[in-house]
Amino acid sequence: MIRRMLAADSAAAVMALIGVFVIFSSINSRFLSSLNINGIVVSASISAITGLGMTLIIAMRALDLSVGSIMGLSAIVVAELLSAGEPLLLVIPIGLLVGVGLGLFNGLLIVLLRLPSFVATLATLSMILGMELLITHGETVTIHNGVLNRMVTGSIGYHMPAAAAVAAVVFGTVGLIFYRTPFGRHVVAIGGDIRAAIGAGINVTRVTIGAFVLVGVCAALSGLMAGAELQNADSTIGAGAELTAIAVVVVGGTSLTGGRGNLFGTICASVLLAAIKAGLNVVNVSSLYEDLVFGSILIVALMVDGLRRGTRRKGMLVV
Amino acid sequence: MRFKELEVAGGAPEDKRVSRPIGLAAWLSVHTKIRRDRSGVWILNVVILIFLAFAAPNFFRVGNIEAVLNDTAILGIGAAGMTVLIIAGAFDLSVTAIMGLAPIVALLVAGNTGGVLIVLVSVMSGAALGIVNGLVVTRGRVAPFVATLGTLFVFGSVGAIISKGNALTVTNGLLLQLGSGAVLEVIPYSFLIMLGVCGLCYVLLRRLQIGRWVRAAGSNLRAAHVNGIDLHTVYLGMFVVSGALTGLAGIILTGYLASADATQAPNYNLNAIAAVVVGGTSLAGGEGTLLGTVLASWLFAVVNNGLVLLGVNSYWQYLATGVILILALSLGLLGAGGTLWRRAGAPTLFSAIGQEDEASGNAANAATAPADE
Repeated sequence: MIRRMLAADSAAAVMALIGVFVIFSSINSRFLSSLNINGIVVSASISAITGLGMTLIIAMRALDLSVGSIMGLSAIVVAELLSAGEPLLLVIPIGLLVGVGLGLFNGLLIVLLRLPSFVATLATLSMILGMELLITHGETVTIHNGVLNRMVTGSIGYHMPAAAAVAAVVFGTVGLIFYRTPFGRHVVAIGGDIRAAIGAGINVTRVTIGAFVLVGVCAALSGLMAGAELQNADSTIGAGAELTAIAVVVVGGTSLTGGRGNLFGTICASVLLAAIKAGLNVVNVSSLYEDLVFGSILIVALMVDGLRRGTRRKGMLVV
Repeated sequence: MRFKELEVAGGAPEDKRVSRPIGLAAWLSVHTKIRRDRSGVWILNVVILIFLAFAAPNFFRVGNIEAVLNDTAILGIGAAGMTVLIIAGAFDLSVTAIMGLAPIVALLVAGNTGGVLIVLVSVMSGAALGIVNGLVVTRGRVAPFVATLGTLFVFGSVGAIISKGNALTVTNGLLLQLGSGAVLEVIPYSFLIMLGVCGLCYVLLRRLQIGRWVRAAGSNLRAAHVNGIDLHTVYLGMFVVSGALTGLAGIILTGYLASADATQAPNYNLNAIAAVVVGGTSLAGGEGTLLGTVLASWLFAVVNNGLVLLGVNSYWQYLATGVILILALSLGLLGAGGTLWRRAGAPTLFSAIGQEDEASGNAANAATAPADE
């Protein structure tokens, strides 16, 4: 049992998570206060939702660098529409549609122009950021909507914020899609060996576009929630989130070589990242150290992972 | 050794039998030595420069050219190192952090001494950070993308910690000269340094034994390993080169800004990768040119500068960057003989990190058959 748990892809994230909780709560019990836990869960939910979509993309041996920009644009669109007086019930779907549209655009660039996903989404990262700035003129748009804010930070009992429920629903949906539908298996097949997938008659074009639309929606939802939590939106929402999302997925035990994905690990890694941030704050360490701790965990987890598997040929590198 | 074969596999010769070339891209590919997948950056450069000549004639003013060349150099020096790494089939995402950290270390260690020493310390600390990257990749056996993603967080954090999140001011005259001085007020020193750097990288890639190893490792890692290439040395060495060049670019940027800040070059990693890719270097590794990278750096600098001259809102430059990236990669492949929208033939292949073309397919086949020496 224990051996099986240690051999799981997500073992590193789970152990680091337990370690972080034990260390911080033994230094300062305020770490386990409901306010702090609430903060951790909200921020973890936001990064986990993008991470779940990104897990699919990485399982497909692709990358989406534009998720950060999609987050920002959806938050900004929602903020602008709300300040124009549109009803919330209309605005939220529009925010998500932004993600659908941008994901579709990414997917079409990749399959029609045959650009590598890295390059195509690098281009859209920049283009979407430009759109954000053109809409906001570099200014911050305030979101005056208590309902939207409560949909993220409001309590749903058991000291849990509503964001946890949203993340759970997304986890369930993406999990169903990934583990229980032909689409999910096709994603994994493409990531494992694209030639074999084509040979097996998988419609690579359709699956690719579908996966990018899915990650687009996830990112848009994250951005919407980030905006709702902050109660304002500007182009800094989601800035750099693409690399954080990739890091979260990788710490969660999903390999960039594709062919497998671990959604549970992604969730654990998101909580880990949020717990490190909140924990350093609780024990009065400057927030400048956040990235140091998280980056070190990322490197150590991967090095341990490489040693633990030990299947790689001696001297051979993973590039 | 079978490097010849690998090279052929890496740079499959263009089919010159295109009977009726249609369009500029096809014409270029037939009548010049520029390969199709690298012609995009040339076309865009020509088109944009002609456009600017009519729309914004003061682009060609001496002072403006100097500013553009300076921007080119700051991106180009780091991108040259990134080109070498991408040809080797690796990435360095941590350059953003090294750009900030190396100058900070240099100013803290040698801030009161001469300017030359500051530059040297910055380059050395960049190289040291490159060693860290290289060791994580080779000894820790972590894929470069994620290894340098980790060190991006770590180095960035260290830079912020030792500078306490503040910017350090630069007063050293030589450093300020390095950042904004120019020969005859046209050619900035930084641009000359970039040319020197690219020359060295060219020698490294094309004239030294290790350059063959780099290209061999990039085009097919397994084949390179089977052939007995010391991959550890190659990758460690290339990360050191990239780190040192980034340290150099960082100190030049510091001189230009007259201050050193841990976040002084946001998105430098992605911009450098974009410049490399626009310059026609394949993300799959194994082939690429430094000239393309320099032209792409120049192109980005020209576009950003041109948009300002045209009086367009500077936010458009982000959109322009994305459009250039897409255009540069697809322009050369359009039209007759191109691979875009050619319905018949092999199914679409694409992968995350690089474009899987027939060349790498051949190389993969070569790898499965062990070398008979």
